[in-house]
Amino acid sequence: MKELLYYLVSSLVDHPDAIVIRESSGQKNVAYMVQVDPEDMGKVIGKSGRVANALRILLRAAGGLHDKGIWVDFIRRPGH
Amino acid sequence: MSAQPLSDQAAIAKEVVENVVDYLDFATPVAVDVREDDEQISVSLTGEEPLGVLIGKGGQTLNALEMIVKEIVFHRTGARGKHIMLDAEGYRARQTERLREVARENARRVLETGEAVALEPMTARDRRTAHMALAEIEGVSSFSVGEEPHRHLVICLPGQEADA
Repeated sequence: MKELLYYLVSSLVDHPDAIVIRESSGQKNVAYMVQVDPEDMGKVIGKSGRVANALRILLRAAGGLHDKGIWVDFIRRPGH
Repeated sequence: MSAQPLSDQAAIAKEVVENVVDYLDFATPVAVDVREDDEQISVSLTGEEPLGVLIGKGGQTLNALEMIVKEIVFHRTGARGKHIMLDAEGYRARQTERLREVARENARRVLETGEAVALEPMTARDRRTAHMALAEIEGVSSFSVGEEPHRHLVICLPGQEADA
């Protein structure tokens, strides 16, 4: 799941080396905090958040395959 | 299958969809078929097991993946280029037929009763399909109201738009 998320985000941004994905898992849920270069925020969020929402929908569907609830948040990578 | 080699745009779209399918790790193989003409690139998925998880409620997962593929292709080629359409198990064609039927049935109700009918909220793509189906029916008019994700069609008699 994290690999899929990393693959998609890295395909969307100009600075893939700046991507950091933190994962916190519970029994039924997994939360991902995705940090990207400030210049790339617009690319992963999209107009009115449409790209970020599409990523969430796809990841949730993928999570459904493994019976897991998935949360994805995008934040600016500080100091970059 | 086309004899022409795929354009960069189509090749990237195919690669992205194949990679996503690999990451999803289905138990049986999923085929990714790409067709391309001068205007459109169609990517179709077929599997031995049902691909409902890739379609989602109201096609939302399919729409999400389609949008991500478009964004990645745009990012890598620097151009919007041809229209990219993603389908799984013929869902798009079935959905279009369903929407046309819903549109026809409700148009008939409007013509019989003379009263406007509001349809269920739909995606922009489905609303467009429904509007197009209704444009072919004489004596009814249609428009969309409300904000996403509740935006929906209203079918009425011509001239009733202001009252609805």
